[in-house]
Amino acid sequence: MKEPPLTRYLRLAVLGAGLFVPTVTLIPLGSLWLWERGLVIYWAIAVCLLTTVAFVLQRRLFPEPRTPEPAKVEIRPPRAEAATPAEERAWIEVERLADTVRPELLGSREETWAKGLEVIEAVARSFHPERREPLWQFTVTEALALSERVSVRLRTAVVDNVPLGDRLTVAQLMTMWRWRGVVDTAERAYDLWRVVRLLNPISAATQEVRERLQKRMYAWGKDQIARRVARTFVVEVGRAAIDLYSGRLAVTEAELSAHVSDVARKDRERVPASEPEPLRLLIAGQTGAGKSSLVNALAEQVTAAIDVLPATVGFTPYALKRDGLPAIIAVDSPGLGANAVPLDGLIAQAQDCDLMLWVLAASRADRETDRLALERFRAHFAAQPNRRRPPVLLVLTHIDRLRPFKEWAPPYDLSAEGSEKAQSICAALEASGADLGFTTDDIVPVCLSADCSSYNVDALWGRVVDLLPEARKAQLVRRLRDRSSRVDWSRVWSQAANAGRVLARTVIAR
Amino acid sequence: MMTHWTSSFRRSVDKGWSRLWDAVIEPRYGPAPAPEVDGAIAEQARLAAPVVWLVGKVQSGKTSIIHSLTGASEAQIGSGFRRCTTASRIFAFPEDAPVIQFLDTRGLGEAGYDPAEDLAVAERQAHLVLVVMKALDTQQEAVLSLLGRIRTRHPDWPVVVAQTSLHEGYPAGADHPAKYPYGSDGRAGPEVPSDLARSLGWQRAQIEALPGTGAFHFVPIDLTKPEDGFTPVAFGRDALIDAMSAAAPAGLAAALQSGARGEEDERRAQAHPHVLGYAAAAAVADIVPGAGLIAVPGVQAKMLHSIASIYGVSWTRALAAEFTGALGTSTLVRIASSFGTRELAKFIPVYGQTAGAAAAAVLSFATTYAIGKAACHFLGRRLAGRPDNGEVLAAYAAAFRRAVDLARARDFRPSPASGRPGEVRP
Repeated sequence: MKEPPLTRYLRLAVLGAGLFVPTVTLIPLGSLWLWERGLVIYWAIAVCLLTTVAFVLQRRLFPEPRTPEPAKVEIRPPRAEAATPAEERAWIEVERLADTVRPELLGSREETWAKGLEVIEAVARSFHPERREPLWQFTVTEALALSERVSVRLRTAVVDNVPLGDRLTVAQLMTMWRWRGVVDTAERAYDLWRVVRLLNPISAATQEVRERLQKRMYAWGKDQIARRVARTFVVEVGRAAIDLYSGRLAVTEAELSAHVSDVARKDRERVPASEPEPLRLLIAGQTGAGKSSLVNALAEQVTAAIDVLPATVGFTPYALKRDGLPAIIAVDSPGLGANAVPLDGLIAQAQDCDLMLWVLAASRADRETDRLALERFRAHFAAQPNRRRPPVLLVLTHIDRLRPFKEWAPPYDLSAEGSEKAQSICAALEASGADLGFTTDDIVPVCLSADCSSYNVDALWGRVVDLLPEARKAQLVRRLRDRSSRVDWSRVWSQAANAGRVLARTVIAR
Repeated sequence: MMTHWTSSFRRSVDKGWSRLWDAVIEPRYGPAPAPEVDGAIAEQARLAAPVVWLVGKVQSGKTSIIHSLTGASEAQIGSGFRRCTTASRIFAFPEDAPVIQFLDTRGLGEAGYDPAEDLAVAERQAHLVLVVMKALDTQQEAVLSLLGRIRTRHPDWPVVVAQTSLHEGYPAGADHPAKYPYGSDGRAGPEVPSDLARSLGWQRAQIEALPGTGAFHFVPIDLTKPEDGFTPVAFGRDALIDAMSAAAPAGLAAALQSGARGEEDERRAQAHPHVLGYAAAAAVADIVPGAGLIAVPGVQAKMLHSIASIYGVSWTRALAAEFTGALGTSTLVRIASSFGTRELAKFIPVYGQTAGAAAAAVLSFATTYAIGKAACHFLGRRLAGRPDNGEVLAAYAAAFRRAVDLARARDFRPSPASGRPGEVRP
């Protein structure tokens, strides 16, 4: 049984009047009494006194809590994420734009849009400086993957950096903004209609979100926050653009971790039971430098054929197992000669490796061949800014053949004033480093002959472990290139079939 | 009337004799020749000094071979090298009167290396191609490619291959076998460790596959330093000299074969290449007509000063008088008259410039060589305080006969392409 609203209001009014009127009337009545008795002046003095005392006490006992300074968490564009020189260049560009961004740009929709476009263009240009239209060097799927990625990234970025950021879905703004880009790009794409349909409702939503955000910003009047948001905007757009143009988005994370490059697959066919995409270690050097002996020493067993005469004919992979290390495939190479033909093969192999060990005989002084080959190798990677050059260690073999010839009494202390042999080793180290462009840190002297029982190979492993993160980066980029350069025909087929189905449905629906 | 005639005859003979004396004997008494004369004599000897073309990679043991063949120290060799062509350098030994030259191609294996220039140097003089490779170094493409080009151009040129650093193929701490375990053809005996023997054989097969008809002589050697602890220090040196002598032109064979071997006296051994060099310079003075060359007496004078400094004395007038006394007047007259005949023969048309000049060169070579050798004996005996009982004269006679044989086997004429001596040394 519900009572009519009128009686309810009436009851509330009566209740209010009953409680309110006596309290309210107390103040004028009291004042009147004070006035009539001529006590107002004393009352006023007492009030002032008490207020002062209260104020002082308040300040003394309860110091006002300091309003916390806005934490100076600068959103540094994580240049360290860059896997290739091209990405690093792009990050520097993004950083420059982020540093110079004006916070007022958030006030204008057009300005925000233009700034975003500027960032993307800068990134696109640093990736494709040779194209006339660098902006469109990506595929539709990449663009769609990007909008998804941006949503996630920007959401966390805003939550972390903007007060109330979790309630303002700026991510949607970015999503929408990105999809606008897709429309421009994918004019002739088969799913254009889908994008257009999605566009209208969300652009309305975007407008709303933007206005709310702006109002909040201005209400607080915190230029600092606006600046931070503007910076976040530029950095995130930059990150998105770098992801887009570096080709990473063409491959999803899951696909990448499952993907095994062609070379690794071939390795695996010859070396059974290896992990998904092991690290590829290329072992190169002149004939007779001791490449195959090094493979055997690293594998701790005789796997590669070694001989005093050239024994290795082609590039041969060997699986290396070592506790606590990821799977490694060591690729033994035929000895390098003076003519250029085997060098081409080696460079092709280097393109597919993540770490290289350059083997050099300490007892031989003909380093010209090595110098030319390493020069080619460095130039080869310098010419592809979107590839990361694999790290290289120089392995100095046959140190037992250095003067004094008859002596072999390891260990040798190379750091201090050592024996004559240690000095010979040091001299060989410095001479080869100077000739071939290695610092002494990147040169490991070893002895692999039967009499030496793999002297210093453990130290070599140590250096390899040091270089693993670097090698991993190189591997990531290599697999990315390998994966995205391949046309997945099964996918093309299913795309075509789906498109046909959609068309058929539209036709039938009409 | 009669007395007038005889006195005038005696006067003219005296006059002629004194002129001959001034021309032939006097310079040998005089002070040391001027430095520019030294240089000219060195160039003169260089024209006749055969060239050993060392073909090998860096640090394959080329300097050790030069050291072992000449006795020059590594520092002397290092500073003695002169730029020869764009890609090569040359070391002449001994410096004052070269008897042998070593051509070292440094640009080996570099992309732009063209052997044409070095070939030209080898072509214009008596020469020998000496390939040097470390026994265990199987990466020899640059060497093989140059050798292939040399043999394509000159299929008949013989090649000596020195396979060095044998100890790299020994087990740890092992010394050389007691007996040189390689045959005269350079093939390894059963004492040689099998990997080393296989590597040597592999190199041999690679080289024998090259074109050409000239013989290949393989010599495994190991030239170490005394502090390296291998005995002997120059393992296989004799085999190398034998192989080079077998393959080399006569001049080189003479320079090598009668080298330090068989000379019991150390100073005499040291003086030997100098004597050979000056003898060659004297021969060149006769055979290359033209200005600017130092004539035979000047060369001989320089030689005597040079030998004396090896024996730690200076060639004074008193010493020269003692020496001529030891040689005896008849020898001096023979020396003087042979000079006179040579000078005369040069003026006979055609014969003077060809056969006469050749004969004159042989005579100049033999005389200078014999004087040098006799001077060594003379100074050696004097240093030891032994009196001379005709040994100096005997040494002269023996050396003269030997030198005539040596000289007949040689051709002192540089090829027409050589031009002026200055071109060899830019």
